Amino acid sequence: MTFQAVWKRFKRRKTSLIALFILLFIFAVALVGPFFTKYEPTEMALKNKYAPVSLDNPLGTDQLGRDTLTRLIYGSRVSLSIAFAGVLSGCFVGVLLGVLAGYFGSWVDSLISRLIDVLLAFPGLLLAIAIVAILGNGVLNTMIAVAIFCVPSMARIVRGIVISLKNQEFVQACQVMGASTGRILFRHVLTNAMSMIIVTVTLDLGSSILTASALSFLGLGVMPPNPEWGAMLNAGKEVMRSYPLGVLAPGLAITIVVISFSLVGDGLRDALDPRLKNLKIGESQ
Amino acid sequence: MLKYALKRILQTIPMLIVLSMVVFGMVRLIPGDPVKIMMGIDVASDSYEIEKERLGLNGTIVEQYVRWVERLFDGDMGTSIFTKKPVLQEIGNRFKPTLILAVGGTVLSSIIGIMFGLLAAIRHNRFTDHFLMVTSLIFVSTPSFFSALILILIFSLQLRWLPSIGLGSWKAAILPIVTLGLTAVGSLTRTTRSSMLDVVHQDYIRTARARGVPERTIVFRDAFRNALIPVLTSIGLRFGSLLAGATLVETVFSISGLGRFLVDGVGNRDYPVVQGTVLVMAISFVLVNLIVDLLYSAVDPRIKYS
Repeated sequence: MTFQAVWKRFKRRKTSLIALFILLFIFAVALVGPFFTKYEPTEMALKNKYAPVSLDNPLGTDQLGRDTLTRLIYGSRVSLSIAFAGVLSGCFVGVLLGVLAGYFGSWVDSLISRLIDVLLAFPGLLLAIAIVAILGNGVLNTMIAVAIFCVPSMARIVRGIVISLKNQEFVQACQVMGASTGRILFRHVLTNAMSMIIVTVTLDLGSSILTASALSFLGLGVMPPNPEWGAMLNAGKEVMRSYPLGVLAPGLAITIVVISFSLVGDGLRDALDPRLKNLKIGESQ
Repeated sequence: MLKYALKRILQTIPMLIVLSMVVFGMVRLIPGDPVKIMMGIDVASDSYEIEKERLGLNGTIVEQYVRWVERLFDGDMGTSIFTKKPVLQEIGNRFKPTLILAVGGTVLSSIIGIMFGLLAAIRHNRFTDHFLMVTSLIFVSTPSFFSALILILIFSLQLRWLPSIGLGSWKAAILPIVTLGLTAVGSLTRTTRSSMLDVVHQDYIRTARARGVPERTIVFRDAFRNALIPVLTSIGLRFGSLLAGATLVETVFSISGLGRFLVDGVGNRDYPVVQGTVLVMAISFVLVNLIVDLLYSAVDPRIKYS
């Protein structure tokens, strides 16, 4: 299917279209926003703590006098880069494992399937916490936790698709015509699994933002004073009574981004392949 | 039925074995010398070998694993490095609050989710349906630690109706359970709705309609009962996420539960605690899934197992 055809179908769902624009806006802010902020994200001004909403501080300042809007903008960089790097690398590994298991079957499949089962035996957030327990905290380790978090579900989905594709006539025809395994896998099997993979990646991005911010909120992910959104919420909760915006701003930012990824994922699913109906955002909490 | 149950139970055993290996292996995966990290003891120190033995880190890896499992069966999960108390005893003290949260959250979210889902399916493509779908999307997407803080802001700090700390009284339990339950409402609403919509298009429903069975009977007797099977699976899976998700709620409401114990353990590099809690949580999750599987094979005799 061409890009134009997908775009034409995607445009029809207005909620998904709006969500896409919101995401593009947030990406733009994350990319260029830091060049326009008046303050540094960790710049303290104790004389100016709990400053009310004003032109100088559009979202006020926190208990250390740091400008919340500035921190929110820098935080979008941290949160989004963790989500993208984590999900893309995790999904890459997931796709690889899924293809290997689905296409080669036998002991390869058994081995990989058991691995998936074990990873899925850790409910939701527990897997991420266990990984951080091994690796320690920090931005990179949070990314790795997010990546491993994405592997099992992606591998399972791709494995299923590959198994159903493997026995179809066009793949068997390729085998008969002497195409190499690599060519069959990349040219024929993967292209047909692509729409499902794209949709899963989009939905995973949303749940990864939730997972990464949950880790940081627990004090196990990105550490303060780094303005990751979950870490901001954690710092803000102590002074919620005097400065509710310190909690509302990062909390709403997380929620809006997660909702948007979910809506874009739904739109993509309908646009790419209306038959894929029952894929949902994987709740991480 | 009995044969299936037996087979399903037997299947769980290798799962638990691999799970125990992973949890055992966790400590080996930590970069550096585990004895040094945990006890802060130098390799040159006299007490090094003693501590190594006490932590069960002497001998080959296979020996270590066998010994670790043997101790597990004796109910020995090691001693917390931080509190110096047996890990199993500590877990026992903290299991109840987490269980209350997870069970309360599951019950609450099941009631609301199934109601919402049914309503949305009955009013398919009308305003109620769209409204409920938007609501459930918001519930799914809001991090529990954020909704917890909002609920505290409204009901504890502004209205002063409910306490925001602990799990001591039924009043104190309301906010944590509601927070945790809300996270699961969204997905249960969606599962119930789509399952109902699938069932409604089946032949036997059309037959019932053709025979003039009243709509109410069709919805509740014929459709709903059959639509409940995927919902049950979903509730089982949700229970696991709520068990782990309770960690966040426990943190916000200062509840001394299993999740908080785990997080503190990670923070203190108290690896016996981390291993013990991860193992207990994962095993509970596997067992709940087993129970759910057995339950729905009892509910729906059509399910065939290979």
